Formats: sequence, structure tokens, C-alpha cells
Amino acid sequence: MWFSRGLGSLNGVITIDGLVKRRGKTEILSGVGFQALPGRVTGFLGPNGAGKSSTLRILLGLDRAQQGTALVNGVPFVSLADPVRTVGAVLDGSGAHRSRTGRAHLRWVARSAGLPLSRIDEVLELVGLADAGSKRVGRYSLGMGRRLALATALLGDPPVLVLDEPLNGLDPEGIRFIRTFLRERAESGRTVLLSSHLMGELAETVDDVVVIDRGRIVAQGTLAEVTGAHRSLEEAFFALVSR
Amino acid sequence: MKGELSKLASLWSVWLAGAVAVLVPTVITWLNSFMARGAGPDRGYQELAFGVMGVIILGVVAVSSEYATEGPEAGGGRQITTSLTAVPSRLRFLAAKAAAVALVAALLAVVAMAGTMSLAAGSSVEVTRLAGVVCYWTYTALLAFGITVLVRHGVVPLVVLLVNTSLVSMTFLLSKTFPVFSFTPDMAGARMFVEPNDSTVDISPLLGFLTMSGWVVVVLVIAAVVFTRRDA
Amino acid sequence: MIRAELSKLLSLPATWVTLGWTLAVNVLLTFVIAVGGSAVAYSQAGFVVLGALATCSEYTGGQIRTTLTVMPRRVHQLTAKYIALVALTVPAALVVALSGTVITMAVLGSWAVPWEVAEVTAYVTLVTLLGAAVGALVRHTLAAVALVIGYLFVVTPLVQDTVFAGDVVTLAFWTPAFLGIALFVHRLRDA
Repeated sequence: MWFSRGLGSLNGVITIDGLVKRRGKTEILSGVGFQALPGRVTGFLGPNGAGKSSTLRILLGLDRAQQGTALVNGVPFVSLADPVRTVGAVLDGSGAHRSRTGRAHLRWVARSAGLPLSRIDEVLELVGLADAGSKRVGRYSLGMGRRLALATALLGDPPVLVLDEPLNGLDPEGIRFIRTFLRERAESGRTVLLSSHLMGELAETVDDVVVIDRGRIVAQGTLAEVTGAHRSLEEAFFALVSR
Repeated sequence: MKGELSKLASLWSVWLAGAVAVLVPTVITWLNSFMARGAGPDRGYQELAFGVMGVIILGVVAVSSEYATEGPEAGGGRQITTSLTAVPSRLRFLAAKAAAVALVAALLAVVAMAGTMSLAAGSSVEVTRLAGVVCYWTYTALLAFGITVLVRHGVVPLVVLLVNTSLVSMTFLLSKTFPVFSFTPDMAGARMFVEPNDSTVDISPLLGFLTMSGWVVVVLVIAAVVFTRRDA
Repeated sequence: MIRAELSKLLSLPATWVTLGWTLAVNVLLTFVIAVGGSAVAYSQAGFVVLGALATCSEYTGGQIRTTLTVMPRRVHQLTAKYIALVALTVPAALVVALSGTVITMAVLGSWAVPWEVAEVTAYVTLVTLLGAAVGALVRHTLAAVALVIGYLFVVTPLVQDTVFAGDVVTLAFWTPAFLGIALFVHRLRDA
């Protein structure tokens, strides 16, 4: 992909290719590769410990792979000129220090990218935390922490969203909110990549599916392709990862 | 109690504390034996007073680890909730933890002492003074433990107690101006094994022992009362 | 980036609590000991805590993941933090140094040389940065504080004539060394 670097055609495309990650003697990822395209919600599915988080952490430059590349817009995440306006990331937890207020947390992120501070109230409103902005993060419930993480990811209104288990810790209302929200993002032409181990919850949300099991991609394609002859995505999933 | 011992053993900071406790006095004694500094009847004993740093860390970490939310992988959960659901009786929980801390501190004191005294040639080995060292270390660990239970955070007790172990301790300076500071636990307790040097108040080893015991009892009782009454 | 790091430091309640107590203890000790300047020998502990907090607070609540996804260039990010920390520490250190001098003048009637104030400020800033560097390396406030305070309060008095002595000159060597090592390690390891 290196030759097409910088071309407009790669805008919003996530390209992961041949990732290998070893920790000590165990191989966590053995040649993981797939694409996530603009205008589509890509579901990255797999059981616990399959390597979903590791892949996303490498994509976001948090961890390093021994081999392979993970590119956003054709460049590694760490080389992005303006990461906050390019990629929004939601990882586990709130990603905020417990003794800061939600608003103070968003403020430093906004400052890191030179975003106008007026964005803070906009994103708090968007995720339904408008009343909790001046509360300490330590006093947030699990679901509120997740909403704050989403608000952080949306500060720069990025064309690419990467979410690790976004439904974890959310109540049914929160799950519905995330689902409709992510669909809207994709329909407006943005890229959404999310990992999950909850098949049933995702079948209605995703366009493309990538299934990972024990560090290897075992299936990828559109929802219909991966589901195939099975009655549901869930059944297809269990057929794919059965041990 | 067994559970508490295994919790301690699985914390790497406890091993650091142990290393500090044993190495600091032995290495200092060893260095001093070259530099011929600090020679005198208190050789070895004085160095052992610095090793107490290790048991301070031990006492603080034993408690603060229960409340810690920090670390590369920590998700924000506190171990204390797990601990208190496993051992619902808070008094028993605290007692078991204190016992584990005391045991490890005493053990470290004995090991450090063996190392230090074998290097501090020329210093007389007196059983009562050596017992005083063990007692001082154990008590200091328990004080650090009790204070950390009260404040639920490790940094403040750690800083105050460590700073006070330094060569010219704060309480020592204060006791120069205000004699009453000679009765602080560290000043009084140290009399169990170090000869008083240019002090304004003369405290016998026995009085030192009683004073420090009093402090430990008071701090632990307050800690127990507060700990059993408040929300985890 | 520097503004982001400064914003982080200033919105952390622990920063203000640490600074407040450090200054209070410093003033109190200056009165009690009444030899001026030497109160800093104790209150420097507060600055060690401040430095360690600045880097270790990243590891509470997974904030480091947010930090590194919004500021993925790690060397720039940590350098920005160092600079923000200096910007906060120098005024605070100046206050501590001046308060010591002013009180000593009031009590003893002797004059302090401006050079001494500058030296104390420089020393305290170096100590803070050392706390930050060790904090970035060990990633636990308690461990970082224990290591640096153990070094400054117990080890240095015993090794006064060696390169490990904790005066301004040796710290001016050791602190940048540790800052550099911390940058290097921060860049290489998995967050």
C-alpha cells in the first residue's frame, strides 16, 4: 500500500496487513489483516482473548507489532498530521483520570489539537452527559464513563471512529443509542470500526464483518457473506470459532 | 492471615521494600567500614535505623495497594471491595493484615540485623538492643500501616515517614527546640537500641519502648475504629 | 501540546493539594527551625511528589490511552509534559525560595543573596523533574516517590563526596540523564 500513500482514494480507509505480535513466547496475533472502508460499519468480532484489542491497540500506535502494518489514510497512526481530527478512539474504561471533571478531561484533549473549547459542550450534549460535565470522573457510573470516552473520540469530529467493545457497560438505552449513532456516522460517509464479542447485539448494526479467533482472521466479508447459509451471524460465528 | 501474607508476597513493591530494608543498612555499614566513618559503639545499630525505610514502604504499600487505581493495566477497580466481600468482618481483615505486616517486618529486621552486624566488626552484640531493633522496625511498619489506613492513600504517610528517616530528621530538629518532640515514636523508639546523643531529654530504653508501644496502640485503635465505621 | 499538558496538570486537584501543603509546611518549618533555606531540605519532598504525580497520573483510569491516541508522537508528548511541569514548578519554587528568605530576614535580620534564591529555585525544579522522570519510568506514584525520596534523604547524605551527591551540580547531570532515559523508554514500550 506504500505506493498509494497520500492519494485521496485512501481517505478514511483503515488497512491492516500481516500483523504479528508476540508477548514473551505466546503469539497473540499471527498475520492479522483486513480493511475497514468509509461509509460502512465494520464489526471486528471474536471471543475474549482472540486478539481484538491487541489489533486495535497496534492500529492506534499504543502497542507495537513485530511484523506487519496498520495504516489509517495510508499512513501509520503515529505519523498522522492531526490525529484528533482524523481518528476518534474509544478504548475500555473512560480513559480519564478519576479526580478530573469530565469537562476538564475534554478540555485538555481539545487543547492538544487546538480545537475550540465550544466543542466540549457540543459533544457532552451529543452523548447525553450535559449535566454531568462538572462532576468528577471517579463519581461516574460505568455507562457514563463510556459516554465520556465517546465524547472524547468525537471532539475533533473525525472521519474515522475506532471503538473497542463500545457496548460494554451500557444499559439497553445506551446500546440503542450507540447503534443508531454509529449507523448515522457510517451513512454520512465516515468509517466505523468496532470490536465486540456480542454477536446478537451487532447483527443489525454492521455492514462488514471480520472474525478473529486465536490471533487469526477466520472469515471476512459483508454481513451476508459471513452469515452465509447459517440462520444468523451468531450461529455462523460459533461455527467459525468452534474448537 | 494466610490470604494476607500471599497478597503481600504477590506485590512487587513489597519485594522492593524487603530489598531496601536489608540492603540499605548492610551496604551503608559496608561502605562505612571502608571510610572509617561513624566508628563507635553504635556502629551497625545506627545503620539499622535507616533500613527502617523498607518496613515503612511495607506498611504503606500493604494498605495503599488495596485502594490503588493506578497502573498500566488498572481499569479503575479497587481491590478493597473484593477483600471486604471475601472477609466481611472488617476487624478481622485489619487484624490479619496488621499481623502479616508485623510478621514480615520482624523477619526483615532479623535478616537485616544478621547482615549488618556481621559486617560491623568491633561493635558489641547485645541481645536487648537487637531485640530493640526488631521491635522498632515492627512498630514502625505498624505505624505506617495504621496511618495509611486512616488516609487511604499511600503518598502522604510515605513522604512524611521517609523524610523523617533521613540523617537529620525533622523530629530530631524539633526536639532540639521543643523537648516534647523527644517523645515522638521515632525518637523515643530509637532509644531502644541507640545511645542518646546530645539530647535534651533523657529517655531510657524501657521508657522508649513504652512510649512507642503507646503510639502504636493509639494509632491502630484509631485506625480500627475509623476503618470499621466508614464506607469502603 | 504544551497547553494540553499544562491543562492536565492544572485541572488535577492533587497538584494544588501538593503545592499547598508543600508551601504551608515550608513556611512553618522555616519559622520553627529559623535558619532559613534549610526548610527546603524537607519541603523538596513535596516537589518530588508533584513531579511523580505529573507523569504517574497518566496511568490512572487508563488516561494514558487517551493521551497517546490524541498525541501519538510520544517523545513530543512527554517533552511537552516536562515543559508544562517546569512552567508550573518554577513559580512555585520561587515562592518557596523567597518565603524562606523573607522569613529568615524578618526573624534574623540577615540578608540573603539573590544568588541563593536562584540556586534554591533551580535545585527544586531539578528535583521535580527527577520525580517526573522516575515516575514516567516506574509508572507508580508510590514507587517513584519512595525511590526519589529514599535517594535524596537517605542515600545522598551518606555519599556526599561522590558523583551521587544530591546537590545542584550533580542533579544538573542526573536529572537530564533520567529525563532522557524516560523519553527513550516511553517511546519504545507498549503503552
